[in-house]
Amino acid sequence: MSPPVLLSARALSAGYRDGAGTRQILADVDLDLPENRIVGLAGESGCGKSTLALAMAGYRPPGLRLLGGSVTFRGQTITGRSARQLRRYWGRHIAYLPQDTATALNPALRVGRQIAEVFQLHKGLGRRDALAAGADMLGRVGIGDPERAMHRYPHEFSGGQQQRIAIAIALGPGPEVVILDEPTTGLDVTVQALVNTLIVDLIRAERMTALYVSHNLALLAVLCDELRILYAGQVVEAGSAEQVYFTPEHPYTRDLVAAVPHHLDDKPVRGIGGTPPQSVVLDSCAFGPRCGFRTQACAVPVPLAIRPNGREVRCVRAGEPALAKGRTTDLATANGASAGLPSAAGPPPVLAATGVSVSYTHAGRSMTALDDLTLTIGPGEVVGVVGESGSGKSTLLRALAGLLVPRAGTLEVNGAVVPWPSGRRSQDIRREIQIVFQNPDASLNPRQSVGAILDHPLRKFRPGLDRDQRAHRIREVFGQLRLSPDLLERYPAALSGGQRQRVALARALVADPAVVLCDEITSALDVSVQASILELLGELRRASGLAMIFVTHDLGVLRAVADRALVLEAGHVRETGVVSQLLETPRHAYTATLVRSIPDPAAHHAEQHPGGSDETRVPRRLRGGPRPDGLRAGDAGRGRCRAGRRPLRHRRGADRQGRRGAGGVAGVDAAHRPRGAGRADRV
Amino acid sequence: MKAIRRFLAIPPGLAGTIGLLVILAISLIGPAVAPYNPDASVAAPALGPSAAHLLGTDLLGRDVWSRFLCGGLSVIVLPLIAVSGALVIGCAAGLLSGYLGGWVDTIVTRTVDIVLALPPFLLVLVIIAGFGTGGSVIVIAVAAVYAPSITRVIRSATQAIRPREFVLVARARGDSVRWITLREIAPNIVPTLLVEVAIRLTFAVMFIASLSFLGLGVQPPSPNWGVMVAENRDLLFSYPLPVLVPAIAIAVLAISVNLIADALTIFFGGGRQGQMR
Repeated sequence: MSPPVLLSARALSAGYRDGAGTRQILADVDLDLPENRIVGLAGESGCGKSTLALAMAGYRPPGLRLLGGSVTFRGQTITGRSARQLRRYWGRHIAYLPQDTATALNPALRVGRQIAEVFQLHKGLGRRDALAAGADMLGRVGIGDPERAMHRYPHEFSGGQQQRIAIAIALGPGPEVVILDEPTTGLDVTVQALVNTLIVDLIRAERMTALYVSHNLALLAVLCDELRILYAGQVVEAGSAEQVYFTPEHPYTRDLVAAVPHHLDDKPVRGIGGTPPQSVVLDSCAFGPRCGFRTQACAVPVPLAIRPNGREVRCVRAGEPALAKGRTTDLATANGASAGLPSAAGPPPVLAATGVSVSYTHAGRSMTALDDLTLTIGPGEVVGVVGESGSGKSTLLRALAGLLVPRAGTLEVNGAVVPWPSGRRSQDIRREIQIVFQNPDASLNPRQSVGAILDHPLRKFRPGLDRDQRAHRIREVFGQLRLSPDLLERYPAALSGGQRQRVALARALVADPAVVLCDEITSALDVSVQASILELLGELRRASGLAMIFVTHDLGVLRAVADRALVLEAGHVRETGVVSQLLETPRHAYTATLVRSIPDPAAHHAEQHPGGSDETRVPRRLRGGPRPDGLRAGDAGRGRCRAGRRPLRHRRGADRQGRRGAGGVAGVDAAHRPRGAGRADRV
Repeated sequence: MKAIRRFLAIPPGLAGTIGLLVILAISLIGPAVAPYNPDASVAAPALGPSAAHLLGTDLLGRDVWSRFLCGGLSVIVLPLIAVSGALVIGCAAGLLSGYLGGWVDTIVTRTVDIVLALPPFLLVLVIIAGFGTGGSVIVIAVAAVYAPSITRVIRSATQAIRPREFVLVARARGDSVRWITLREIAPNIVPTLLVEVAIRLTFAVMFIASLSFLGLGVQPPSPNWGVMVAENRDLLFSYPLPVLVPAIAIAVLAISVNLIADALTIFFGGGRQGQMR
């Protein structure tokens, strides 16, 4: 028997005011949250998932119009009610946790007062009892020494800890339904893993019902019971998390899963061409224009149909064998012929940095951002640099680009020693090293046309070319990057995120550099766009033997682009090696922690069904578990840095206990957790 | 064209533009259509309004209407030159100190702090006391008073743009300071700049009109609205028009420019990217 539905949306339609009309964002969405279940809601940016999450809480953001349908909580309609009436539900029955939760904490009030408040308000506790309950709740979310923490201000905590405090405030009064909108996006991966584990454990322990919104399918597959895929304001596929993730039936879900690179798998990633529609499409399949299986039959309104196997899919061709085979692809693996083992016997390195140390002076104290780093890149080689915020990975790129001068270290380009500051480098060296930044919004001058942005570096680095030759070269690079020449006239604001990032890449490539420094160039993009860029980089490498240093925090992306990698933690190189070995058999504890923090649905699936039997209710958790060194993720920064320097021996005992305590690693599918993973646990 | 239409759709923008156009039309066309020589005595002094003399005559028997038509130009032109001068100095100093930082920034900010610490009227009076009165001295004095505050605004706007990645890319590319400040940064601070110019212009109009009223700006024989208010204030209770009309014109000019400044803030506040096409 299916559990009763607590919160439910019926035929919900909504749109934003746009000039005189309304731009429709949600179309006839049905969404049920059955009691004690965690429902995942996935989709790319602009698909309406945040609007839906807010509407489920009964909240109507400014400018939003409800066009039809309703949301009911335990049978009572909450849509269309005044904020005054809704306050009865908010906090007590329905809690909402937004993405940037740190801003939800009032910086001027002590944490204790903010958390006690919710207990006074929703539980009717007296001041003293509320403070005690608040401290208890802080302890439960893993804030050390809760009594003291109650007297501190939010800024005295790290980002991860602030997130935990916000969780404590939201979940403290024991709401029946929790709506989480990307609650860990923007946190470091290891912190993400811990915070997510914490959230889900709390939800399960208190028998709450949850809606978890995220763009990260793998994460949802691990955390949730059920999964809904949203595209252009419509649910296109619904089912159990495992079904939807492992055997997607809608072409969009399939493409979305295929677009995410996996850190333990060499499968090539595939981008989804085109861009999603800006508003709801009602007269045909919204995904049609981007779908590889489109036929005449798709030009009609497509309902979300329940198929004979019980799955709900919005596709006229669902279940056809052709779809099950997936989109045909003739792309070779993204990282092509791996050029690169350490360049011992190979050709001389294009770029070699030796003994690089960078320190900053902040408030009179000197801080080391990079300590004695050595890095070489052979021709056509891609070296990945992985690390969390504060690891020094961006500092490294800025030093290589000549934007800051290290305290020590030498730089060689094509065998010749080169000065650090770009102002003292020769024009030719500046041309050889190009940099591409994370955020394409900030890296293209909004007041210059795309054509001007690309023409300037060419004029500078290739003074011999005349106007026509420059235009020709720009078109050539545009062709390689699959950009239309029409864009040259436009300004960056008129481009999509993916186009902007490709223009930024084009600017780096026009002058024919030897090395391109890529600083998280895909992390601000949607997964489908990220996949297209990764595909492109693979093609570029095969076509022109481009060498790159690729900084990323995403181990899947690392696997998809890099040959070798460097793991950075707090300015120290923890491990270097060939990417596949590094990820499959990490030797350093920190690398192992990073690898474990990645949600791995396959391993999770194996954990859930040891020997194939269902219905074993092992507490679901991310494979991350508690940190091996006993530190909490919130104690990032210096604490972690110190732990990193501790001799390995000290950590072993604690680590073993930690892993035992976490349990459930036993029946892991060998195919997805190769030999090395076992070893990682023992590090 | 589209941008202009969008600007005029903002109510204060429309009102300010109309006001400014009216005043500009009076000042530019006025001297050509003035019925009498503004500097000559053409009738008996202190006559009331009549068909021959629309606004009557002043104490020296000059036609007030002709003086009004000819007196607008200096009210507009002097502040315009003064603010332009302040703008050139302020932009150069602000862009350089904001972008370069270090000792350049220290020198610029200290100088700005010192000048801003002096009361503006006092500063102008000292300059006039030293160099005498006259259009050029007024322009230089007012420019000197306004340059520091423009410098400050441009400097902070530059500092906000400097860490952006497209500036880093230009630095890594080895672009010159001149290219980076003028081509990469300056176009991005145009909105801030326009608003600043409009506000300063309002102040300068009032400031120079006040100086003229006090007899320190444009000198009495030449027609100027500020001078006219001063000349005719003895007539205020018998014939108010010779004082009121130029005073209202100054007010309309100042308010119009101020409305345009407000409208520019709204215009650029709506979305900073891609609007300056």
